[in-house]
Amino acid sequence: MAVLLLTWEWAGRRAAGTLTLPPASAVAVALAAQLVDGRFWSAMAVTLQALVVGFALIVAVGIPAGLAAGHVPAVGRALNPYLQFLLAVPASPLVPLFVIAFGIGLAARVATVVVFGIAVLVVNTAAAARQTPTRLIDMARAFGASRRQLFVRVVLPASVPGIAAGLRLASARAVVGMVVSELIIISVGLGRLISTYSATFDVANLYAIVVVVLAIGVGVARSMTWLERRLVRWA
Amino acid sequence: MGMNGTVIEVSEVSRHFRIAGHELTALFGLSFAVRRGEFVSIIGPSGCGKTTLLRMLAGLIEPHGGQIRVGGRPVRGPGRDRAVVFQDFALLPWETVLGNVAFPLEIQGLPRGEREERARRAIALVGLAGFEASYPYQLSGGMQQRVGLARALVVDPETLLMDEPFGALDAQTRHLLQDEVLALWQAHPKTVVMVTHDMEEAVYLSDRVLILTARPGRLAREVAVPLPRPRDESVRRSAAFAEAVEDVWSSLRTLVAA
Repeated sequence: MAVLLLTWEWAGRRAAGTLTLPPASAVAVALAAQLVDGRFWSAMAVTLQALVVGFALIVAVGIPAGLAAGHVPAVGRALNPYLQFLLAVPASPLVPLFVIAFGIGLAARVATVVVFGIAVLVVNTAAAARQTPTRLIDMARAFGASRRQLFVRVVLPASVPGIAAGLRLASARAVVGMVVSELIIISVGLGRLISTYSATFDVANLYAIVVVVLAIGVGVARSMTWLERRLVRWA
Repeated sequence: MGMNGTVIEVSEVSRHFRIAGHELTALFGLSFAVRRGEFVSIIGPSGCGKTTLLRMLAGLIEPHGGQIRVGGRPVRGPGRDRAVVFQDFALLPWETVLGNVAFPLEIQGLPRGEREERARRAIALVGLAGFEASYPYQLSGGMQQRVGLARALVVDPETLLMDEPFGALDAQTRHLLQDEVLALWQAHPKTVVMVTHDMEEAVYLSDRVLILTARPGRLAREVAVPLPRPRDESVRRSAAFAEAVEDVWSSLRTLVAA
């Protein structure tokens, strides 16, 4: 980390005046200034709002959909084409469609976040539910478990590791969706700051915002890894 | 049905299954009966449908022909009169020992206090007191199967169905657990049907050993074990034990070679 920062500083000083790479110290100063600026924080709030609402929707829809797809083969077959489509096709071209459908408000950005993140959660959850060990299902049935008990006490807990892994992957994609929506078309939040600084060649501030976006990504990934460890302590 | 009446009646039972489009017959025209309190082992060449038979007794699958009656009633599915000990333990990895042993009582809808009290007693019975809060991954194979045994005993079933219960364990652990099952069964007699591929285990524990033929499995012979009860470890070194094992082997070797 220190080596990286020093190399950056050295490269940035050599490139002084070329606008390509600001030294690390200049970015640090710009970042410090941003952190005491109210406009930065309101941009941050706008950005995180789409992420939080979008991710909440991903969780609320993705986990039940995944469990249904994994536990009920017919549901799995019905959902599969859409999931494969969402996983295989880059979601960016869909953003303009959401703007047409939802306008340029929060809804379109939330939709982008959801479309980026949801498929991977559904697919992981479904795979985990489907792969519930047969011996555990036999065991529960042998002791007289009803279909509901089988689902709640065996399939659901057996799916938790897959759900946790799916949440981690989905959260990373949701962050990408958040950035893409703001950069491509709906110029608000941190995306608007990036566009503005980029257009005015204010590279120190541009880098400072990019660092913030990366920090959000790392923070989300870290908290998901933590959650995963909490949920799957028995494995 | 008196004290020594028939508990399990298997009549002309057949079961087929399909592999890659081929219809195979796992069991064909199998009949036998088990008396109350009897310990019966089922042994046979691999693929003779032993486990299929046990799954039918448990009510997990149905016969395609013939009928199985337990306690006078045709088996229509799993029931509280039977409990299964599985070869691969089949413990819930996210539950503690206590949670696993209490699981069947939870399925039956017993209140938490009662099921935990009964689970603790069953855990103590199999020598695992002190491990109630451990998770399966923290236990050895032998300890995991003790949990499996406690989980079956906690429902106080009339019939215990054991599917190669010691098959996944190393030789020493297998020996120890056989001794403990023998002691438990002698202290708390139950009807037991055990599937095994271990002749010594079958002879050591059972009143009768049923030898099945290779696929399709049917009854080749039944051997009444001429060893007195109660038995203990010293039985293993007796001449009568060696003779009984030899007797089972003499039948089995022709079936395996066939």
